[in-house]
Amino acid sequence: MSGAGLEKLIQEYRIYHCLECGKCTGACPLAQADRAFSPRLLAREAIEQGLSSACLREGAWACLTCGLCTERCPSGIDFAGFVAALRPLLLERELPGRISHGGALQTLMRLQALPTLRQNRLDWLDPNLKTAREGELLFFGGCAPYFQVFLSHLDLDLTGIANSVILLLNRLGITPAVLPEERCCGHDLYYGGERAAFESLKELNLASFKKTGVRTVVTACPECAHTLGDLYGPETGLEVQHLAAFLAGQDLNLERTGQSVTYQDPCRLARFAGITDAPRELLGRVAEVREMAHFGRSAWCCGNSAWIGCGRYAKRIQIQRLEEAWAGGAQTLVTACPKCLIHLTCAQRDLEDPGLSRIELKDITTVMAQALKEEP
Amino acid sequence: MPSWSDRPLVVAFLCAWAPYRCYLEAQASGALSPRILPVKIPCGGRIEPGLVLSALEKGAAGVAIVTCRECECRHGRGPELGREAADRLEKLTHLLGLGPERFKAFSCSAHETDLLVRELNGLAEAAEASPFSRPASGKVQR
Repeated sequence: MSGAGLEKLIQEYRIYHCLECGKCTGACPLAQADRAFSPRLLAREAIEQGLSSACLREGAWACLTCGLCTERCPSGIDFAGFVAALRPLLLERELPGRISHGGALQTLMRLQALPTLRQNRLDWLDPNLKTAREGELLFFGGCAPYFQVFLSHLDLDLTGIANSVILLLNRLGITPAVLPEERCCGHDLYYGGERAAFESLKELNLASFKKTGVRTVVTACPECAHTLGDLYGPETGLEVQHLAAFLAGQDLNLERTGQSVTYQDPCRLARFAGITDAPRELLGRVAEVREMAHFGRSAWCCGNSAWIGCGRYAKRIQIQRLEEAWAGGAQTLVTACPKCLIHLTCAQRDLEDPGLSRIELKDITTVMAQALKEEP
Repeated sequence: MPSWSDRPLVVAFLCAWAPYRCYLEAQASGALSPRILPVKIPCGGRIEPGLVLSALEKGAAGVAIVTCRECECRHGRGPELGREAADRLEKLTHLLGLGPERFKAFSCSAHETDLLVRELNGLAEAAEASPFSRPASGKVQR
């Protein structure tokens, strides 16, 4: 009993092409932490049992949508895309996943979809930086101001990352537009199955971009870049780049720190956008880069996506990432995704391990901004 | 089905101890606005920000958290934890552009019924005047 909706998805995502080789399960970070989870099994359950399968329903919400299975799949099945498309079907049948933080973050995102909202979202902006209210190049700050407040217990400077992006752009002679009417990009709602709210956010954001003449969007978050660039569709005509890709090859006056760093590849940047060299090239200009056991397109996820299903398995994956960083001998673990930074910091805060709790966690934007030489 | 003007406008999360006692007294005397919906909670410190945001999303024009006073909490840290949640909520509602007329947190002792009535009725009046309190202000879609 698959239902017409599921059958359509099975066809669209070519689930019948699954060879049951199990390479996906062998590579999946969640399957290493939770032996009951298996992408291969989910594919089979979808075909044989449909939505009546508890294994499929639970697995569809547990999946990190990190895309490592697709990297390994000889049939090239887009399993993350299949899971993302399956979730709205589960919501229709009132079968929601286990949402972290009581769903507060999703509520904040849905509230941003109210057309009448007049946000105060630019309070974080450093007045010494040059910004504009319109222009062709936009810096899209995303939910950083909301996460800064909601996750204040983690003591992370997430809005500082946003200021660092603008500082780096200013040093290149660019005055980016920042929009007070910007909304959440909708990534977490899309991957959480809430398509109507996602469409509202997309519509509102695109209307703001059009009004202010935006053509290029730079973000500090790979999820925002994936959403604005891929999920909003090519018809928007927007050129969307993560800052790490935007800065690659640009001439910045940087000072070497003498530190050794390791780099956590975010799923949306490394596997979805295929950007693995640019962040390393940037980091290589200021520090010695050491690799973890899983890196590049084979890097493990930070353990959570879209604020769904955080639990002991997520923590196990996060601790594994910290252990890999520690084993590599790096002083600092750098990532290019504020969400990776949040999740890994959260795991680190719970640890009493004298080694793992000493690793410094930073965003690449912060590292680059701190390495900028003083202007004469 | 009740008309819009009869519906509760403000959701008040009331600690089961002093604030709820005050609420019962105020309710019996008829001093409290009928547009306040009380939600009795075991302790003001147990309130999660998601619950308040969810109330706003589902149509509450205003939300209040009322805890016991610090020295009177039966569980120890209730008012302190309630204050921490309220601080975050004040900042989040500010970011969303929802003014102080949409969210309020305060403490009261068991004998401070007048304070409870004044604060909650004030919130109901302010929420009524807010453009967001109208049903046509927009619908949150999932």
